[in-house]
Amino acid sequence: MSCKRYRRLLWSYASDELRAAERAAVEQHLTCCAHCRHTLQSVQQTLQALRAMPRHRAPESLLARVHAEIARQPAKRTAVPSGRRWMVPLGWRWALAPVLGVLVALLWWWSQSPHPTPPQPFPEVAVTSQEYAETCIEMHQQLEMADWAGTPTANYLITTGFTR
Amino acid sequence: MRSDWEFPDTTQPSALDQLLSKELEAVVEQAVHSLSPKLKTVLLLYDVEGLSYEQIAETLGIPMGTVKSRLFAAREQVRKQVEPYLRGESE
Repeated sequence: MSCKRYRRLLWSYASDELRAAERAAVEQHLTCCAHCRHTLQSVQQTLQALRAMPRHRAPESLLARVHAEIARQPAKRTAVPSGRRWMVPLGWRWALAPVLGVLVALLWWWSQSPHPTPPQPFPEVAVTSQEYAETCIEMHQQLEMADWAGTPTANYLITTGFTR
Repeated sequence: MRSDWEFPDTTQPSALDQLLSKELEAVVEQAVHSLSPKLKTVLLLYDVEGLSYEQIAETLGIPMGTVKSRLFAAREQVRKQVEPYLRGESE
């Protein structure tokens, strides 16, 4: 173990806070390290001076007043209606006013500007593909008959509406 | 020769020792006041007020390991400031 590690233990050694094994290890190191012995001396003197420092105690009457005030604090907090706790304090409300104004202006600008309508889905085909194919074939046949026939047939006139 | 003469009581600190001790305390106090508030708080609570590591950790709302490391840092800073005085005293 290095001197740096022992230096940390010297404070606990001087305060008699070490376990037996650690204490023995520190004492063994101190027998062969003059630097740590010197450090221990300054640690002990510093510790002694620290513990001799005056403890500035407040008068009992002041302590009693402080404790009484602390005891009153939770009562003040609970006195606030629970339904209004979400409300923003007045100072913050003033600070938020410009932000709200900008938001309203943006919303108005967005509602006024032309924006592309989203693509509409194709209307549903009323007939099935089978029916559509049959209709196409039928019309094709009628057109063929109209192209090739010298005079329109009665069937062609009836299906195409040229009855007059 | 006076028959009621007694050897001086060397187990009690002499006036000089008391004076030097007062001086050292003043130097330590000055070193403590030069610490940062974080280090000073832990040092005063442990070494002066005698609170435990657990009590300090709970009071300040910090882990116990932080209490120990701050205490060591504070003590070392104080010792390094006091050491020149101690060397001058011993010479």
